[in-house]
Amino acid sequence: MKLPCFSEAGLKIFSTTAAQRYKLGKDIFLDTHYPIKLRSFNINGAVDVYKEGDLLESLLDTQGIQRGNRLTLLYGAAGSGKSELMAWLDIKLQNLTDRPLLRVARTELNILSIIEQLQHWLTGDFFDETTHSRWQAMRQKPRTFSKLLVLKALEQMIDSDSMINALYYRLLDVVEPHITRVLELNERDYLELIPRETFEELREETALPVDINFEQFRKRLLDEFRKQLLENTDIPTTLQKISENLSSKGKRPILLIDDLVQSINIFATDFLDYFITLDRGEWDVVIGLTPASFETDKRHRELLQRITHLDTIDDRVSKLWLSDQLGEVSYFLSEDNCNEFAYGYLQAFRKMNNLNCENCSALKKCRFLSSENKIILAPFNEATLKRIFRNLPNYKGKVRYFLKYLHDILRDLIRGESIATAFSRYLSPTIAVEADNSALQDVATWYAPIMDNSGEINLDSRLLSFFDLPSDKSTVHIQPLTRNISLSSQYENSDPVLHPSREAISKWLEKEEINRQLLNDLRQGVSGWLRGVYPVEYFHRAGTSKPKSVIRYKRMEMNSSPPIKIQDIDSFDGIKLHRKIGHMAFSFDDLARASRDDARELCYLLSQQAENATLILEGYQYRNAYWKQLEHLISTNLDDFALGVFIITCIANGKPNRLPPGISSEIWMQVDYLYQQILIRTQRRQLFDKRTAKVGFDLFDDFYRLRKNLYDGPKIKEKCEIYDVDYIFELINQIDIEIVDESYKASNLSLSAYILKLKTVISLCEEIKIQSEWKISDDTSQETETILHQLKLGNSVTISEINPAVLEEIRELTPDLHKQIIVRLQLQSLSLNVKGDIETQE
Amino acid sequence: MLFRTVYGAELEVIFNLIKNNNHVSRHDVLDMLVARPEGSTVRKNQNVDDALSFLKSARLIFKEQDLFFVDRQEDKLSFTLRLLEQLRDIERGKIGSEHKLDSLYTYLLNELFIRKNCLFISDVHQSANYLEKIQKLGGLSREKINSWTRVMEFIGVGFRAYGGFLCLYSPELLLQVLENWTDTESTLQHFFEDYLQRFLPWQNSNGSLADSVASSLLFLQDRHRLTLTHLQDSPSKAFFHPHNYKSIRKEGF
Repeated sequence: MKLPCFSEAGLKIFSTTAAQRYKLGKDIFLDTHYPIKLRSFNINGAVDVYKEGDLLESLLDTQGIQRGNRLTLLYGAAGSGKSELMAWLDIKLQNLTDRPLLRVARTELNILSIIEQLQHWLTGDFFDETTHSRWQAMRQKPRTFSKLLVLKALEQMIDSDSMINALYYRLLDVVEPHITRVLELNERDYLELIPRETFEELREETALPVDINFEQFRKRLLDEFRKQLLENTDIPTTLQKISENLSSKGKRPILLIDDLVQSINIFATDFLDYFITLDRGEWDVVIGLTPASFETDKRHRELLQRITHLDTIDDRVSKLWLSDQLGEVSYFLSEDNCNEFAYGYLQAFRKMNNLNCENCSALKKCRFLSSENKIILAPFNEATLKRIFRNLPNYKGKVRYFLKYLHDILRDLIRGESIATAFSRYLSPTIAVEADNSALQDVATWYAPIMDNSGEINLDSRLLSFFDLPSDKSTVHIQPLTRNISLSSQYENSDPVLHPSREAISKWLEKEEINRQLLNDLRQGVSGWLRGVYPVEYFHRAGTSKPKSVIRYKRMEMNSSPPIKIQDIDSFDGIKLHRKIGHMAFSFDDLARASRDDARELCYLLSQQAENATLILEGYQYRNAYWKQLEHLISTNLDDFALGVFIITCIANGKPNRLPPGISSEIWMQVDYLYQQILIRTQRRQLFDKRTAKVGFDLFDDFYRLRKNLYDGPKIKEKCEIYDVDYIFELINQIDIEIVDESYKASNLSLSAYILKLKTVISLCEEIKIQSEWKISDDTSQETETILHQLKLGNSVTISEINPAVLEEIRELTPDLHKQIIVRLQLQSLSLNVKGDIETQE
Repeated sequence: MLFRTVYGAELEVIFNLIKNNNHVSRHDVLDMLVARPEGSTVRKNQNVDDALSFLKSARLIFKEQDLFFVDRQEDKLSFTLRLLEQLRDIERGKIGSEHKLDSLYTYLLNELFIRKNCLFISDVHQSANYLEKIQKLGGLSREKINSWTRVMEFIGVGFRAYGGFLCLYSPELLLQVLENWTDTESTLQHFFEDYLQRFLPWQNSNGSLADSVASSLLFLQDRHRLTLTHLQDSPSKAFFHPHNYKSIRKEGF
C-alpha cells in the first residue's frame, strides 16, 4: 500500500503523551484534541456526565462563590487523557483569563522549578544562583547530603549519642538511594524520602529500643531538605501567602497539576494538605490522580484514602473520572467514536506531511475508505479502527494505546510492510477468514465489517478497489474469534473478548505454532458430534433394534473419546481431523461449550456439512480397525465370542426364560447338566451376579437379536451345528487376557477381567467333567486318595496347599485333573492381578 | 406395503432363510426366529408378519399355498443390493407396486437427499410430507418415516442421528456395488448412469454427483479400493469438482 501522504515526518502527531504533542504547537494540539467527557459518581450511585467545557466554565466562573479553595480531582488510569485535558484547559485559560495560572505538567517541571515559580509569584524573585548551584553540588555528593539530612533529623528526635550512632548507619543506607533519585529531578516515578514500609521493617529488625514516629522522622527530613535546597520554602505557607497576595488584588490563582504524585512527588501531601483545607486560600486547583500510582507505599495509600473520603457534598470539591480505576473503559473514547478520534489525527498527519486531501491524486481511491459520515480514514476504515480498539490492552489507558497502535501500524505501512504484517504485528485478528486468495483473505481479516456471527459476506467493491482487487471475487467466509458463538442470546451483551481456543484454531488453520491443550474443546466437540452420528466406539451387529453396546473400545486422549487426532498437532492414533474442515472447526469448538439447546442446533448445522462426512468415514475406519484388532487379540470373531459368552452365562446362572432359536438340544443338555452340577457344588448359589449375567445375555443380543424377541436363528443354528460346549470352552480358554488392551470393555468391566470370570466358570466345569471320569488305583497314597475323594464329592479343596508330591501323584494318575489344578492355580494368581481393576470399574 | 414397521436386519435373515430353504412356511420362519419358553411353540409374531409383508411388497419373496419362495434363487447379488434394485424398479414403475405408497421408498431418498444434495435433515417426517407427490397420496405418518429411516440405515444409505437422518452411503454398501460390477474400469458417466443407477440414486438436481455418494467414493479411493482418474481425452462427463475425474477402476477385488 502506498499513498501520497505517507511520510514518517507526520507520525510525530501520534505521540503518546499530550506534552509531546503540545510541543508541536498549540494549533496542532487543538486540531487533534478530541472533546473529553468525564463522569462523576454521586453518593447515591447516580452517574453524571460532564463535558470538558463545563469544567472550563466552572474554573472561569468566580462570581458569587464561597471563600476558600476550589478543588477538582481528575481520576484516570495512566494514559487515560488527564494530561490532555490539563493541556487543553491550560491553552483555553491562557486565552480566556488573565488570572495567574500555573500548570505543573507531568514531565515539564521538576520540584525545584515549581517551588521557584511559586516563590516568584510571591516575591517577584527567582531563587538565586547559589540555590541552583547547591542542587548541582548535592547531586555530586548524594551520600553526604543524605548523611546531613538523617543526622539532623535524628539529632532533633533522640537525646542519646549512642542511640543516634546506632540508628544513623541503618537509616542512612535506606534513605540514600531515595534522596539520590529526588536530586536527579527528572525522575518521574513516585518518590519518597523514605517509604513507610521500609522504615517499619527496619524498626522491627533492630534490637534497639527505637521509639521514633515515622511521620515525625519524615517531616524532619523534609524540613531539612527544604532548608538545604529550597531556601526553606514552606509550601503551605507559600501557597497561603500567594493566595492572600493575589486576593488583595482581586485575583484568584489557578493551579493545574497533571499528576499529583508524579508532578510534585515528595511534596504531594503538603500540596494536598493545603488545598483540602478549603478555608485557607483562594485557589482554583485541578489535580490529576492515577489511583494505581498510590499503591506503591503505605503512606500513599493513606493519602488516597483521605482524598477518596473527602466530602464532595461541598460544591468546592468535585471528583471527575476519565476512565475506570483500572483503565479498562475510557469514558470518552469508545468503539463507536474511535473513527472520529482517529480522523483528527489522520488529518493532522496529512497536514504535517504538507498534503491536502482535496488536491491529492489519491483522493478518489482514499474515498473508498471513508466512514459513513464521509470522513476519509485511509489507510484505515471504520472496521479496522474498531478492531484496533478491541485489541487495546487491558489495564492500560485506552487513549494512549490507541494512538500508539495507530502510530506503529501507520509507520509499518509507510515502510512498505503488507497489511497482514503491519496489523498482525500489533493486533490479534478478531475473525478468521476463508477466501479464494491470500490477498482477499488479508483485506477481509482487517477491513471486513465487524460481524458477531459467522457467515458468508461479499466485501464492498469500493474496499476491493482500494486494494486493487477484482470485484467479481468478493465472497469470503467469516468466523468471529471473539466469543462463544451462541445461538441463544446469552452472550449478546457481553464484551467481545478473544477466546483462547478460537484463537488457537485460527492459528492451527494458518499452520502457526500453538499450545495443543487449547484445542481440547475442538477435540471434544468433534468426538461428541461424531458419537451422535455413528457408534465409533461400540461393537455390535448393524441394523438391530436398540443394541446394548456391551463391547466397546474406550480410549481417551486429550480429554476426548474417541480420540481426535488433529493434523500436524497430535501423534496418537485417533480419528483424523484435517485442516480442510476449515471454519467448521469453530462450530465444533462451540459445541464443546454449548448449552443443550444450542448444542442441538449446532449438531444439525454440523451434520449438514459435506466436509464433515469425512469425519464419519474416518470414524468408520477407526471402528473397523479396532474391531479387527480385538478379533485378532482374542483369536476369534465377535459373533462366535458372543455365542460362547451366552452359553457360559447359561451354565453359570441358568438359561433365560425365553430361549433363542437355533441352539441344538445337545448343547442345551450339556448346559443343563453343568448348571446342575455347579448348583450342587456352590450349594445352589449362581456363579455370576446379576450384572455379570446381564452382560453375557446383552452381548449375545448385540450380535444375534434382530428385534424384540426375534433372533437370527439360522445363524445360531449354523454355528451350533459345528460347535459343542467343549469347543466353546476352548474358544474362550485360549484367549490370552494379558494381551487384551485395557481400553476394550465389556459394559463397565475391562474385557480381560470379564473373560477371566468366564474362564473361572470353564475351569469349574472342566473339573466337574473330569471328576466324573477318573478312578483311584490301589497304589494311590492315603493323602491323594482323601483329596480326590473330596473333589469327587464336590467339596472345596484349597489347591495352593496341596503337597507337591500329591500333585505329582495326581498328574500320573489323572493328567487331565492335574492340568485343571494347575489352571486353577494360574487363575488364582491372575485374579489377584485383575481384582483391583474389577473393583475400580464396578 | 413397504412402509411396515420393520428394522432391516430381520428382512435379510428371513429372505436368506427362504432363499436357502426354498418353500418355507410361516411356521418355519417363526420357529427359526422367535425366542420362546422352553418346550413351547409360536403361532404368531407381528414382527415376522411385517417382515414377510415387506419382502412380498418388494417382490423379493412370493407365496404359494402357504409356502414362501424366492425367484432368481441362483442370483449372487447380496440381499442389500437385491432389495435396492427391487425398490428402484418399483419407484420407476418397472415392477408394479402392491400399494400406492410403495413407489415412494427410494423416491424419498432421491428427492429429500440426493437431488437436493442435502446431507442431513433433522425432521424427515416434516420434509417428506412437504413433497407434493406425498401430499397427493395423503402423506406419510411419523411411524412410517421412522421405519423408512431404520431400513435405510440398515442398508447403509446413512445414519439415524440427532432425531433426523444423515445420508452418507456407507463404504460397505459401495464396496458391494463395486464387487458386483462385472466391469473393472469404465468412465464414471457409464458407471453412474448404467450401473449405480440400478441400485441407488446419485445425481443432484444440477446433474453433479451428490455429496452423500462422492465423499464415500473418495474415501474408498484413499483406501485403494478404487482409482479415479482424469481421462483427459474422453468426451464423457467429469465429476468430483474440482478434481474433474472421468474414469473409475475398482481395485483389490
